[in-house]
Amino acid sequence: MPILQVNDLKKTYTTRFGGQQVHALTKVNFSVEAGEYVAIMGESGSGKTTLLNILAALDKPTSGKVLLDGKDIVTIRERDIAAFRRDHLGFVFQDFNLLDTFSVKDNILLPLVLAGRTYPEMERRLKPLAAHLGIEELLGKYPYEISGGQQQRVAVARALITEPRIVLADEPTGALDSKATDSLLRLFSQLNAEGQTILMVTHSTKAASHAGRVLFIRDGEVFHQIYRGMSTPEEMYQKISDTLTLLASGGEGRA
Amino acid sequence: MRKSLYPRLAAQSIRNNRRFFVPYILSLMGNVAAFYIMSALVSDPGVQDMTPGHSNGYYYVQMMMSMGMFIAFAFSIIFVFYINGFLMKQRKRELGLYNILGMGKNHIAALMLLEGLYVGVIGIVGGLAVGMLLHKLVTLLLYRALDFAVPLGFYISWSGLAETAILFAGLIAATVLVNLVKVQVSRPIELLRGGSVGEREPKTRWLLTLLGIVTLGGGYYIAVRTSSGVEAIALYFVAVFLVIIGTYCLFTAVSVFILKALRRNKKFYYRTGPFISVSGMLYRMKQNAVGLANICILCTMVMVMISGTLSLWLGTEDISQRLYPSDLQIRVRYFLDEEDPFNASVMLADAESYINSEGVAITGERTMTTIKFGVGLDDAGVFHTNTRAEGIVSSYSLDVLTAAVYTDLTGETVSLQPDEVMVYGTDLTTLEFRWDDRDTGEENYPATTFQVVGHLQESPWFSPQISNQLCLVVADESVLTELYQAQLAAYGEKNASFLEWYAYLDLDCSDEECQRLTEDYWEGDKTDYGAGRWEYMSWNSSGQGRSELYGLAGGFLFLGLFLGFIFLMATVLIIYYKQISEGYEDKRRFEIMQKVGLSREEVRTAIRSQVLMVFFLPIVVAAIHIAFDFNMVEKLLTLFYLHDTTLTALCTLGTLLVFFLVYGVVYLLTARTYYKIVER
Repeated sequence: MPILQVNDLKKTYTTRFGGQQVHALTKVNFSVEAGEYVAIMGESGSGKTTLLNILAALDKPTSGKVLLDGKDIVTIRERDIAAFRRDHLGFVFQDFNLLDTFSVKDNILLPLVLAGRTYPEMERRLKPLAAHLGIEELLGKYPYEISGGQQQRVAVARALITEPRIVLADEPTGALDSKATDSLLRLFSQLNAEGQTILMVTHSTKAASHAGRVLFIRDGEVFHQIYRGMSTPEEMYQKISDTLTLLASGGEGRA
Repeated sequence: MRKSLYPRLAAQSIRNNRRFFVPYILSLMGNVAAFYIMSALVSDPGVQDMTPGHSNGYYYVQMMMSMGMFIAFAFSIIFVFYINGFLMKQRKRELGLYNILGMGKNHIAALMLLEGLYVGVIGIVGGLAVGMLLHKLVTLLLYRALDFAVPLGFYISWSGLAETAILFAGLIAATVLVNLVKVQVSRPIELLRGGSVGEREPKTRWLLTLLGIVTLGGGYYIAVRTSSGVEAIALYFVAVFLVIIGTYCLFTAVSVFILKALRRNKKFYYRTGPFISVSGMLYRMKQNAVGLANICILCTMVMVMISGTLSLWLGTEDISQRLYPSDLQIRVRYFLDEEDPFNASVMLADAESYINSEGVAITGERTMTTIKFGVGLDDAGVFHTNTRAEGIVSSYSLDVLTAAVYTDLTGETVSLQPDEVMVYGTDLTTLEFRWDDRDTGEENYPATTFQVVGHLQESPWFSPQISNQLCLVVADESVLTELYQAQLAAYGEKNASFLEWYAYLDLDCSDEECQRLTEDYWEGDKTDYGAGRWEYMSWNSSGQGRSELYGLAGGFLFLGLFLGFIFLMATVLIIYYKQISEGYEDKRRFEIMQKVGLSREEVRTAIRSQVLMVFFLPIVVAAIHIAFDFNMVEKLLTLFYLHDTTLTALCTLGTLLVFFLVYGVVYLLTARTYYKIVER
């Protein structure tokens, strides 16, 4: 059974004035197997962010289903959603979203604190994770004292500390320089190799080229997908570029 | 750029920032209105005409209003600059954007000049309009407080209008000038980032923490230890100063110290509620501490002013009855003169015949002789006339009454031996008086010792006090005279106290008639009618005294309420701006937390507890200040002859209660704005 299954997802916004309807997602279908590393690509306005928000249970679809481990997250009651998100999902954002009011350590522990875990358990989880991500020396510092690349690693640690079923990453390399980007993508590949399921939304070809599968979204639906198979990241990069060119020139591909 | 662009741009910018500008303009109007009203009251001819008997009441009011104007304007300066600074901070981004979009600094300057002009014109003109309308209402209230007759008609003080307009226009011009200088020296990129400069976590400042504890403790200690009115007035501003410093330190340093200690307690800290609120408060303290301390100090001032003046005013009736127990008081001070002794009965007979000749009947009459002088109590329980002697722990003003007068005053008969006394104001059972010289310390007269046969719970004789009252009831006039001689020897001819003779007469006439009597009495020659030698004589009608008391107390109450209102307005505004600015900062924090798994309900709880803490911390601290300050206020009020602890306590509690209510309402109103910003 797939870890995540998206069936006929549709999202329609109504503009505040005039009541015009905007179709952000028209019909989205795809699934993610356990241990997969999936990238979703698309241009600005293609519905990527809307899709991710729905997957993250931050937004509700107009119709359709999102099944996580076979359970429809659309039907989860409002007051259980936060706990659900906390326990099953990990988030990595473009602008890191670390809180300046907390030290690095407290930022990582935040989800556990919200989940009401005991302090010894927090410590037990934090130590190996921080060592794994190479951020042990940063724990006592504050977000404004460390570099962007380091902040994103901290954000990854925060996403992983709850041992989520799936990590949702929204343009995780968007605010990083090329060196930090490489380092983060290596980290994602490594985590995936260790069995972590990752779903990443990006419009960076380079970021997507590290994924095992790339979905392309256009006009609110999944337009095409590429499997890595045995390709190297370089070959994958080329395939993605070709697809993007096709997309831009308006070709009629189908997944 | 076209010329008409700026006026439109400035108006647009005020409209877009109405969330900031509207309260600013409203409060400016409030300040202007308040200032105008006070200034109009000073010059209002109606106040003078309406004063009964043209007593000093009117001058008290005038004097107090002038003082009030000074305080109100000084406060307006601080206040307008504070709000202006806040506005500029919030708007840096907008101004930076204009700059980057190609507006030169001169253009921005022109824009700000116009904005200042709009704000100033609306604030001042609107404020004056409100002031003129409210002036009448305020006059009615004031006259009610003063117990004056209410005048008719509508009065506009042109000089007040001009004065107010000029002063506040100058104030606004000064803020515009400051803003222009700020814009001139800033760089656009700084302006653009201005709103969101990352605040670092504050460091623990040991020195300030320590200073805070010491000053606050010192201020409290002084307030609690104050034992008399004179001490209170001498030390009041010292205590206030210490407490103000202590409050600032408390909010800036001690709070950080406590929060950090909380954070070190891992079991406590790593739970949802404390985790969010402690870290948030800590982060917030740096920029908010001063604001919170300001609110706290303002609240304290408002409450002290209102409760103090209110109890004084409510106590006035009682004070006037005790100070003026009869319609007419005659008071004579005299030395014992061997050659030409003062003859009380001749003087009384003269007064009686004068009153009867005016066609007024005397319905009641009582006379008494007393003496009052200062003594100090040393650590061995001995009283000295030399209050500067070593070991003096407290000072008293001693009133001496005879047993006969005591019976007259209280209706209780007592018989005392010459070495026996009844006493009010001390628990000692033996009273020893040493008549030592204030300069040389030598004893000029043999020491006197009395056995206390009765401790009085209430002072039998009410007299104006500036220090603790010690009241002795002695056997008869010969003991009184003996004490007079002793203090005369100790103090010396120049500094010794007089004997005092009082006559209390009840007359069958109106207050006005009585007043006229006391004034007309002085028309004849009062030196040579056989009453012997005396040094000083006064005639007081209770009507006149009462009206003066009301002038004083009513003026104070009015001023207290008025300034209290202005300060309250400032408090509300500071809170409002605080909510807005914090709302914008917290918005992002709570968004992030929601993304990592904080539910909406938890967000709401966290916001509520944080807002509550920030909101009610100042007023709780203010209430503690008030509690410690109570003793001092009570002692200060004794300077105005108010000795009613229950009344003062009730007024303080009432003020506290009403203030908490008002504060709570303000909280509810402004919290809504905050929630709207954060939760959107």
